[in-house]
Amino acid sequence: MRVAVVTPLDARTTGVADYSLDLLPHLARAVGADEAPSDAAIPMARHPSEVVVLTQDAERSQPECGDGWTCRPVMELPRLAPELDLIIYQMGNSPAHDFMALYLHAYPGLVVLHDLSLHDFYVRQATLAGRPAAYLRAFGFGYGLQGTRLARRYLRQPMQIGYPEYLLSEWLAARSPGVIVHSHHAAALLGGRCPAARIEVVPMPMPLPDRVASADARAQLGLAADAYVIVVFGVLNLSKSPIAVLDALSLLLAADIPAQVVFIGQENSAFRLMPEVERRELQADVIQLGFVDDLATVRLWLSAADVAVGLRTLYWGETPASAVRVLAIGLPLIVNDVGAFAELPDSACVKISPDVPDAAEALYLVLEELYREPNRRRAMGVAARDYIGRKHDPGQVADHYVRIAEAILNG
Amino acid sequence: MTRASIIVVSWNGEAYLGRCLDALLVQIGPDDEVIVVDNASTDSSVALVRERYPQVHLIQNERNLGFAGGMNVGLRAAHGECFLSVNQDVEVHRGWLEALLEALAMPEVGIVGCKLFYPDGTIQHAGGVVHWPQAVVDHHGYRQPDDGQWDELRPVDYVTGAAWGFRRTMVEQVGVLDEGYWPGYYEEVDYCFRARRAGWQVIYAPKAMGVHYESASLGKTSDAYQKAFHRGRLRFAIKNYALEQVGEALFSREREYVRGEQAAFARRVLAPASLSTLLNMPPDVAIPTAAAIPTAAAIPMAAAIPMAPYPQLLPSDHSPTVRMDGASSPGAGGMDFLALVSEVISGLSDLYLLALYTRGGDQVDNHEQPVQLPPDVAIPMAAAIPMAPYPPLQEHDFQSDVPIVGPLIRSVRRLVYGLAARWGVLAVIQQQNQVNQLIAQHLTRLGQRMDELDARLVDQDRDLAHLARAVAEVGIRQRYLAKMVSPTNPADQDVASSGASEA
Repeated sequence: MRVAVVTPLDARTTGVADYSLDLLPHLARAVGADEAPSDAAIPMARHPSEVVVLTQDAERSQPECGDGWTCRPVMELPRLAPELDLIIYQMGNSPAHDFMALYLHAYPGLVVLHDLSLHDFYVRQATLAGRPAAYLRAFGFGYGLQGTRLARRYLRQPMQIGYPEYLLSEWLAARSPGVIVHSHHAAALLGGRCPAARIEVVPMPMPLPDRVASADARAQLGLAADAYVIVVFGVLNLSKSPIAVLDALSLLLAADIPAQVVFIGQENSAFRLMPEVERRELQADVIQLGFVDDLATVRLWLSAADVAVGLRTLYWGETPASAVRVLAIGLPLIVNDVGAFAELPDSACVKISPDVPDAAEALYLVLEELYREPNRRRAMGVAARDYIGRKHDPGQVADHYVRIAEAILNG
Repeated sequence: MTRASIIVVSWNGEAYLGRCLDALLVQIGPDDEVIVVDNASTDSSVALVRERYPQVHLIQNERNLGFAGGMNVGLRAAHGECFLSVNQDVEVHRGWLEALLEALAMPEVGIVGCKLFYPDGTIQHAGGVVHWPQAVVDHHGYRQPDDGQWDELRPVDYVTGAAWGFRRTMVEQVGVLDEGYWPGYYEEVDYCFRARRAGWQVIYAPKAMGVHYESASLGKTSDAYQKAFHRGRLRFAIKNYALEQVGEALFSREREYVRGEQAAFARRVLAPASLSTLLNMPPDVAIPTAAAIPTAAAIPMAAAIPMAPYPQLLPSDHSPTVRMDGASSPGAGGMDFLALVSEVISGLSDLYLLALYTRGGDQVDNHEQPVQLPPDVAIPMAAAIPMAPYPPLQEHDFQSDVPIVGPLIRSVRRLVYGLAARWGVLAVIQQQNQVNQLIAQHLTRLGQRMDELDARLVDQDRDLAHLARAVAEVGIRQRYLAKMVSPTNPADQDVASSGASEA
């Protein structure tokens, strides 16, 4: 099978780059398998097999090439298309995916949606790339006449739109031979909006990293050996409940628990953490790392931690990549019981209802309980790695990709 | 056998037509004919032809068919071996007819153009050039004094349809003019390119001269002219460029053009021109081929037009056109052809919307600082316009509690109001009120119509999306199966060679 994967490969701009780099060697192996699955009508062995990666800046990405796959500039896609069996797009809402716009509709393929909401993507196409028709059509397709009106209004004068209430991925999903999402929640959300789409749920690939011993990690990072280290990850905004985390930290400290919170992830434009920290006089107990582009550093901090917190009250179907990465380290995880997070294993996660009247109090109680039960934390960590090893193995994920590709090719 | 048929398309041209016909009739011989095709004129030009020029064959159209439509009526009625044509506002010089026929005697020549002058004696046209990639046209020699610098007979990109000639055999091969350029502009450019694609030469004959008074029915600064010009330009490019050129070169430059233009001009002219082109897509387009893409360096700018060689926008192999509806096969890569056509349609849609909503260079800034709308006006938009009938105007009596003075003022006010306001101001305001109501009703109807069209577009887009997916799936499987049975498949060759060795 000859497959092209259109994806960003610059890890500094998007986590999808890491996703692809984790998957590609295994995908190359999977498409090169020299025996067809028994239920396939056409033997795969009759095809020269190859994975061609098409990205924005192939030259820069070339050193990333691995076994079984090569990297080319995306502008070669029109030339290569007639020779390809299937094109796989790793699609998201961030600017890192803008280079795909010219090809998504002209060369339909299997679209892996890392964000269900593509509103920002289409807005950038309309305002920056000078292609407003796609924005209008995506809105009209998904939301009918009202959507068209809203899009026209936006094009006349940009305004706040109920984002991400309007997904705008329905149009792309309906036009594509196949769509992959990473949670049943996302599949239900998109399937409800776009019943005709062929939607498959495939776990995101996550190799099990070697975990640094907690004591070593703390020594390297200058953390106290007896501190109760809590890691909070992801882009910081109000939907991630950072205020509740700070209030829970205050409660922990008031209970004489030597807690320390490490925030990993950049702030969004509407929220600033440090003023809230200063207001609570928690400067000595909070570390804000911001965006960390080095995965090894992230893993070091996660290895040093006792527990991770990934609260979010609103969820719109994006890949829970950070949560999966935390579980792969073997860290107990506290999440809200929403969306894809609700699908994470109970053996490794504690889930707090997003509707609890006092989120800080609820979080404090969970953190306090876990502090008192180190054995439970260890058991949760073991369960987390076991779950990731079973469900998110990149080899299995690549095989799943190929089964979907075969289904499309064989009708 | 008729030697030459001279066609004059006329529309309300009483001021020019006599001069035009007088100049023609002194040149024609017994084997030539003059045909006036009247495009439903409302002035006295038909009577003028009937009374003063009985030797002219007059054809009266029931409605204005535009230049191309009028020409086609004339071509179908003509008997000549050569077809010549002049606008009603062109007065040809002596020797014009013979010069054109002499050029058309060359067997490779399909179309011949003239040297046209403005009434002040400066050159208006000495052959034309089409600039890449936006298909903007220029006249050679434009507004230059005629010092003999344009006296060479030579091939050109196109010649103006204000005065030109072509041979019957070419018309029989190429067909008549495209009436999709209605009411005019670019139909002659299109016709010249079609002729060149069919292998005919388009040449400029400097000895064929005339004065063009340019009565142009649409003033060149008017929006109507600009819309027709840009509509013709876009239609021409879509028809004559290779499809991949339209997507890659034309529309990317058009987007820059729109952003660089004044917002009002873009909205007023380019938006309707793009929409009109989109709604009247030409049925045939040039075949997509990379060989057809000229390099920018190969296309000289107007300021540096050399005497020779002339730019060749068309592929040298004279690629045939294919029809948008797929009536003829595009050759290799049928799926790519569909993708390219889709790209053209998307490009036009983008151009329309970009021109419609352009706000000059402030788009990105506006995006950075979005406007927060109250939720109740976000949808529906129609609610933002008060469409309810205006209440009738009420007279309010003056009230005052002040003794003596108050009733006095009231009486005086009543008197003045009764004389001036009631019979003057009130009537005017009420009339304006009625006009406002009519405008509001009209806007409401327009809004409803727009909603209906939008709803239809949404429905069609939904159908199109499902169709696009089906086409994509079929294409994917077709390629997959084709590769399976291909004898060049290395796996097949392995199987074949191992089979042979076993044998």
